[in-house]
Amino acid sequence: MLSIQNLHAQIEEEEKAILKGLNLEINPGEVHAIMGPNGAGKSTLGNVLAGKDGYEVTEGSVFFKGQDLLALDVEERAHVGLFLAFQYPVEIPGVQMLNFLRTCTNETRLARGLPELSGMDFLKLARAKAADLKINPDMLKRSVNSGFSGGEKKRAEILQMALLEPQFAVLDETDSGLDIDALRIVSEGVNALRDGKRSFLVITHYQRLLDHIKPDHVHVLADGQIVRSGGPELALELEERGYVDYEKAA
Amino acid sequence: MSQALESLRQSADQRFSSLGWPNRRVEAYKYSDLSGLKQLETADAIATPPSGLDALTGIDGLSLVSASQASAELQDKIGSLIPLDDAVAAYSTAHLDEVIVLTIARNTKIEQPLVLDHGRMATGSSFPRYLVVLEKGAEAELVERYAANSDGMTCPVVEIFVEPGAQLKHYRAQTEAVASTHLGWTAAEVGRDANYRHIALNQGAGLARHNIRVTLAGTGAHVDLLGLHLLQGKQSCDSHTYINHAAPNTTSNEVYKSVVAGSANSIFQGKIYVAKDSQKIEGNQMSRGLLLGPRARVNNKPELEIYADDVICSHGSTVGALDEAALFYLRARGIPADRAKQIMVEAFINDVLEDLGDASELEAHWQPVINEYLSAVFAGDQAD
Repeated sequence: MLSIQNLHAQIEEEEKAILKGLNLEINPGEVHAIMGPNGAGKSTLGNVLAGKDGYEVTEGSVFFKGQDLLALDVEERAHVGLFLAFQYPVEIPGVQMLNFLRTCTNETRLARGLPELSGMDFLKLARAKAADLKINPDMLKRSVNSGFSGGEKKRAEILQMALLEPQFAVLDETDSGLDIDALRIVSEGVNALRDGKRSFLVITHYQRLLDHIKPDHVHVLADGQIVRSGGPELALELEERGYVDYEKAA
Repeated sequence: MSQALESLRQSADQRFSSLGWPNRRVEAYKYSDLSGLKQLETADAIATPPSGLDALTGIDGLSLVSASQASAELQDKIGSLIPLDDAVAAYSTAHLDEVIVLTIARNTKIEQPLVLDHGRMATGSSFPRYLVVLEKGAEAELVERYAANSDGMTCPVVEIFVEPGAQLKHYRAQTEAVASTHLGWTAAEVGRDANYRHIALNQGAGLARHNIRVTLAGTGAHVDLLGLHLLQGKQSCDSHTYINHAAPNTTSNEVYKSVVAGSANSIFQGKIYVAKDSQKIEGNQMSRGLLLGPRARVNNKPELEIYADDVICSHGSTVGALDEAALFYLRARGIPADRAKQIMVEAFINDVLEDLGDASELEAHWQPVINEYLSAVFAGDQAD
């Protein structure tokens, strides 16, 4: 599904290397968690995969379903089935949530060779998916993320994921800013999309999200490299001992 | 023409002869140089009655006459709201010919929009001139459209009296061809507890200047000035507004937004003036510019001149490009870059046009102009 080899990336303006030879293989249906101290490069990895401006890949490759992911435009990456759930979803005043959701759903469907959904069909679909995530239908009439609480923003991200049906999703610190109830709802939303084929990369600082979204593999990212990999028990160990060992190593 | 109007015309003619077209050294024209404009002989003016005036006959409560048929009291109002020391006002008045006077009778609500449509016309210059009076408690919607498709000049002057308790919603769209020059005036006096709402679309003309002067003359008077500039190519468009809080307890709300592509130049100069005894007033002004290219320009100049001490006044002005983080967010959800930009610009524009109540004028006449502008700008059709 996703194959990252010897990935080196830097922030363009600072010419400061953030990722320093990262390797990662994710197979269909797998859930991988990446944990690590602040500044290890966790969010950079998500941004580089999604194609955000301002990062430069200086070495290495990323293949997604056999395709050179780094050669694709941001929107093309979404079309081939990559989804990034943002750590900080962007507020866009004046763009109605429902129109936004419909535009991105239909643009993605068109790119995948599927027919557009009519206004009525889309409304039914969006309302049903929103209800699953306990999203108040009134939220769909508001501007994208504008004035949403932390929990509402993260639920809106999962709603977008449910509508776009990606094959691979990166969840960037999706647990940050969530209380226990919101964490449960968001996790249930993610788990509902685990169908044995779809893969996930869960980026998090804390173990608690992984109580709800059970990973198959856990990796520790420190100073731009994966320094240790293991099963779910690794997350528990990190929770107990913290990142102290890895910060020193860095 | 009556003796009074003829003497108004002559004094404007003399005034303009000494003023000439202003260059950039004239403060009010700092960003709009008119000194290259020609001066027309009076004989070149073409009389251009608006189309559709027939539709306004036979409406209960509406009187539509030419100035010569109007009462002396109404005739005296002509020219009373515009300052002849402004070159554009003087020039237009110097070519004064026909003045159309619309009066909406006391306590009458007219449902049908009063449309003054100056569509395409032959080469030349025109000087449409209106006096609009809403008597006490009257309610109406006024629509002005300028769409000249020629290399001439349009110099309309509209003077409006919104008498106590009256309400006027006024849509003004200027969508002339880029070969055209548009120099317009809108002046209004708003009486006690009256409400004037002006919504302006400036999308056309190579060189455009729109002066707006509103006097809040009675307690409780309110004005909204909402404006859009949608520019591209080498267009220059200047909205110059002046709101005079001449009475206490008056309120004003002003929002101007500019979308500027190519090497176009958008200018907004807005002054709020608060007289010494105008306590408890509230005036809010916001001007925002959105630059769609490296050569696009926005010059916004907000001004406050306040002589009272118990007032709430605010002004803000921003100029910037599209929010990169928002664009990335939209694209990361599968929306192609050009479509994402268009969505952002639409959002920027819609903020001005929402909450206007019945918006049939917007849907029928403005939306196609906005759509056409967005298509042109995002078709990669921007050589300069």
